[in-house]
Amino acid sequence: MKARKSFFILILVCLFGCWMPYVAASQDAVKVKATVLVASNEGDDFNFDNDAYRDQLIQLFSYSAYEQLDLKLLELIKSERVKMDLPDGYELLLTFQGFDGDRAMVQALIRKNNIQYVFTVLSIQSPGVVFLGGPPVGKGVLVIVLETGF
Amino acid sequence: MSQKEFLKNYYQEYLNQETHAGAVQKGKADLVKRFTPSKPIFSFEWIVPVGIFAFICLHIFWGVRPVRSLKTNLNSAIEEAAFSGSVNDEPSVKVRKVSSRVGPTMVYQKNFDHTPVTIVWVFAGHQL
Repeated sequence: MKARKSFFILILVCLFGCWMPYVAASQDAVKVKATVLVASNEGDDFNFDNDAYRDQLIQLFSYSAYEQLDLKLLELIKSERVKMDLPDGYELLLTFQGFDGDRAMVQALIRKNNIQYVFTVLSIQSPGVVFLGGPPVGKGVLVIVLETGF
Repeated sequence: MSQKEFLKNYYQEYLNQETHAGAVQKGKADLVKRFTPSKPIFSFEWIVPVGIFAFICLHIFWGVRPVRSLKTNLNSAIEEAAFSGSVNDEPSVKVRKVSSRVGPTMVYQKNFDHTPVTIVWVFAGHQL
């Protein structure tokens, strides 16, 4: 009887041990969808996968053309910097700093030739959408849409 | 005074004394009390005038306007719910820090179908 009880306790401990890393991993990572767009007044094309951004972009900005250059699903691990190459030599660097309650703290940096174009720390509650933009690209500007909880 | 008148006066006086005697008065009062329902202190017919009076007093002295405040609360609740989706909603994205080496930055938020979108913009090459 005593041996059976010990066996069940051992099984429970093993199950708990297997489950914990998944819990810990989910607490130490966040998934972000990064969409890279170039907005310009060259033409009037809207070329991007996620049509949900169309109305938002039209209402937010006065550019006539928007072109999607890239879309990546990134898994940000806590304290690990993730780099994403952007057009025209720009780089996007994202660092997940951890959770503050139910909000993910994400540090975002757009740089080129070691010049800091945009540096920001965002507190994001899923689902959340943020547009980072402004750096000049050709005859337009770079717009990066960061989305969580998709 | 004749005997007939004497007897008539005698009976009248007797009856008068009997009817006004203490025990008889008490018995009458008990009888009336027993078979006559006592009048309630507060009658329902007073509810309407008392209510109107209380409302006028509240209106004049404390400025209580239940109908107007109800409408105002309802309108503000509808407006707030329509604008943000919920009364207690916080923005889903908060910008804790923003800076740039190439120009001024701007942060603003706009609601799209109850979903707030945050924009962080740098005006590269522009001087403040």
